[in-house]
Amino acid sequence: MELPLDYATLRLIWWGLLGVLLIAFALTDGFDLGVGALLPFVAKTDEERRMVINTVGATWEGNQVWFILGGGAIFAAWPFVYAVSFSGFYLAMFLVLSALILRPVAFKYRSKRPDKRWRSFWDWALFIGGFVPALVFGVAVGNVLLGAPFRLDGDLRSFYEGSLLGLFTPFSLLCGLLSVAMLVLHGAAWLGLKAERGAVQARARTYGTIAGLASLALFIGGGLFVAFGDLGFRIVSLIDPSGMSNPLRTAVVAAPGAWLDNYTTAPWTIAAPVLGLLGTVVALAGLWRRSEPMAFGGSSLGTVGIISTVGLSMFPFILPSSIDPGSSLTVWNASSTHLTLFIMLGVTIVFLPLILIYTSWVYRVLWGRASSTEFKTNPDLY
Amino acid sequence: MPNVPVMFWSFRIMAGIGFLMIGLFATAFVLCTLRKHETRWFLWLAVFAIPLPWISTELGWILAEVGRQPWAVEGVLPTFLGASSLSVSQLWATIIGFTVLYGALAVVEVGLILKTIKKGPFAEIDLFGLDLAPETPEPTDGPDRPLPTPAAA
Repeated sequence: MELPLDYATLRLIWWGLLGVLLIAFALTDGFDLGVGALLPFVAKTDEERRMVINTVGATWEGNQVWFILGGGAIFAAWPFVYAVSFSGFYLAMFLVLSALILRPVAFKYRSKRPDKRWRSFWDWALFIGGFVPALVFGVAVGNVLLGAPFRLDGDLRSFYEGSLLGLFTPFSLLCGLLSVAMLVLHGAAWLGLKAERGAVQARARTYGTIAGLASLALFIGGGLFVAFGDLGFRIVSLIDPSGMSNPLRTAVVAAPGAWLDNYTTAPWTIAAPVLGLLGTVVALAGLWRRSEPMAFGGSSLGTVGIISTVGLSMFPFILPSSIDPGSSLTVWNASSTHLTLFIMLGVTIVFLPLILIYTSWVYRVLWGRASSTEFKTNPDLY
Repeated sequence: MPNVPVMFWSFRIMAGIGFLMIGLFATAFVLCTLRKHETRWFLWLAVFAIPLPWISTELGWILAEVGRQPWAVEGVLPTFLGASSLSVSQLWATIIGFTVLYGALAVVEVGLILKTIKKGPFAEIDLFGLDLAPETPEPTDGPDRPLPTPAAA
């Protein structure tokens, strides 16, 4: 059967969709992770904390749909990436999952008992549930940029030769902190839009400003690492964008600085890091001028820019191997079959707009500031 | 050849529980429609039915996992080739980790459930320290009374 889209185009589309899903996850679940990480610091009294929790109370659960979709898209479209990363980053995944498992229970249990220690315990569980995933996701992205220590054998079975602690290198920690700073800024901007005006908002502005400045510094620091550090990979064989998916047929070498190649061959890609910087600056200006939509718009654009920078810098790599560059996974050698990608695209074209429609509807219906008294009379609130 | 008695019984118990649940919910529907939702034998039945869906799910899992051996993908990928290269200690770490985490959460959960049960039905109003009495009329046996679901009752 002749499919209306060729294999190379479909691979490119699915690479783009992977980015779209990751960005959507960071934009939506990102602010509630950020709010969780900020909770013990921006809100002091029980009323304040409940108010802060209720700024994300109605949407945090729906936001996680992007996390599931991202995992699902990797599984369906990039099975090699799924196999290598989910097995390789196994204990890191476990860490993230444990923190994410604490989150829903913390949301739901916290206000069920008036006991002070009980509530404080779950507040810190929400902090862990926001901070740890934000950190580990960033560390994971750092390791993707560095290359993961895996190799594929002749049967394409993946063997991972790293450890959990091995994931935490200076560069990956920098990426982890950047991810925390970026999402805390985003969460602080969200609190500006959704929290009751008053002390909480003022504290959120302070922490947001610190996070925004840290985000700028870490993003620039990451750029310097990429330019002058010992990371980067380059394909040295001919690329067949429509070839069978077999990572072992691509010759790859470690080439420090190669993550900047795309900015020379396709100069438009510089828009991504520029957006990352500019968006964060706009967010900071918004916080400073007390314009909440400007702060949130800025942090959203900054997030889009920062995540796109990673994707565009590495293209066509998705997951390079640090110990055996020849096993590296790229857009052209690690996808599902032509037919699978095509069918999955059809499914996505139907369901992605549906998700977008119901998500925006939910946000529209629930628009407005959380209040520090409403939860006393409305048993549907946390 | 997978273990036949295991296959035979896990399938039948799983499917049996499935039909039992259909029957249970049909009964619940009929009793609620007749406003007889406080029928004691049915409430007891509902309590004993709590673990059944879980048992059924587990048996379905056993059925699928034992039944497809020695293949991960029938005729294409044998199980031994499909396994990941994770080490035994990594697997132990997550088995113990998840068991401890979920175990602790289960203890908390059961504690909260018991507390809620002790308060009895309609106690969610007290839970929020409210006095909704002016808005909420005393429950009567009239047709306007909100129906508690069997599980909540």
